Amino acid sequence: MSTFQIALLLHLFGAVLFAAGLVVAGVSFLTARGRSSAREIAAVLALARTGVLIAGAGSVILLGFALWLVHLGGFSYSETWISAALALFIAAGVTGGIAGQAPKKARRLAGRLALETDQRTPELDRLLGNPASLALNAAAALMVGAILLLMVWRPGS
Amino acid sequence: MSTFQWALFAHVSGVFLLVGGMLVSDVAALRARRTEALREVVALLSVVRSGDLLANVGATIVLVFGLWLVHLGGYGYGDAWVVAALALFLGQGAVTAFIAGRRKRAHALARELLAHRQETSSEPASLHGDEAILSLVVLQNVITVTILVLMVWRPGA
Repeated sequence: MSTFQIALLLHLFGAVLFAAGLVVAGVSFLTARGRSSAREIAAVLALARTGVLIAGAGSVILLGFALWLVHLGGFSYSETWISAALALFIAAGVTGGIAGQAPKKARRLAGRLALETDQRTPELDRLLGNPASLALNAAAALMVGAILLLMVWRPGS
Repeated sequence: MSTFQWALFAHVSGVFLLVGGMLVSDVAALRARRTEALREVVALLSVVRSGDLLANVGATIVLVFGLWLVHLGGYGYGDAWVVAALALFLGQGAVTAFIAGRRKRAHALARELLAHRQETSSEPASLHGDEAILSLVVLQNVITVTILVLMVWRPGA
């Protein structure tokens, strides 16, 4: 295997971890909304936290090897598709970070409620059904899809 | 974008779904293994079912577009790396199906015990979280990484 292939392999490994972590977070959040007790919701939302940690680790690997690949592949950081991908990556991270605030608060509240009444409260329902959080999560997912499209297409290269 | 690029985009999206689904299942099942509270076990193993569904959808996309890519890329279905990747993919499918079957049975058992007003039990965990299953989970992930190596390296191509 060439150095380029090893860097590409590690880049893809990071990308798969990143995407898989996001899937874990998304599925956990969506599943938690359908659970009836605070204890169940807290248990399921704890998975979302694990997903975010995996996605975070994936993003570091992905970005590190992506920057090396630009160098190894003889591309330039000023090429449109690379700048656009980097901008989208940062935007997706910021959007996902903001979107993750409601589930994070929901997890903490559900954890507290689990020790008290174990019942869902209007506040917990509001956090789990937060439309802004759902919309921002969808936007972040679309941005990740757009990055993948740019990586495959590489317009202008 | 060329047809090859569209097929590659779909293929990689399928990989994200497949690995994402597998990770959802593994993370939720490992967490379910650590609790005896049946309501939590049922909630967490419900997430496992969602993960399995996603992994199945992802695997179908990966296989269909993978086979199409072999054709579009001018490779041969008899090339060693293609044959090896397909064999590993089938092996991974068999391992995943076995693990999913155990988890499905554990989920059904936990629901049944809960219906009989039992609050805690270690039986579901012993069914889906024994050493043999954990070894298979490791094997499943090793196969995934090996396939990824083959896809990037393409020895002999």
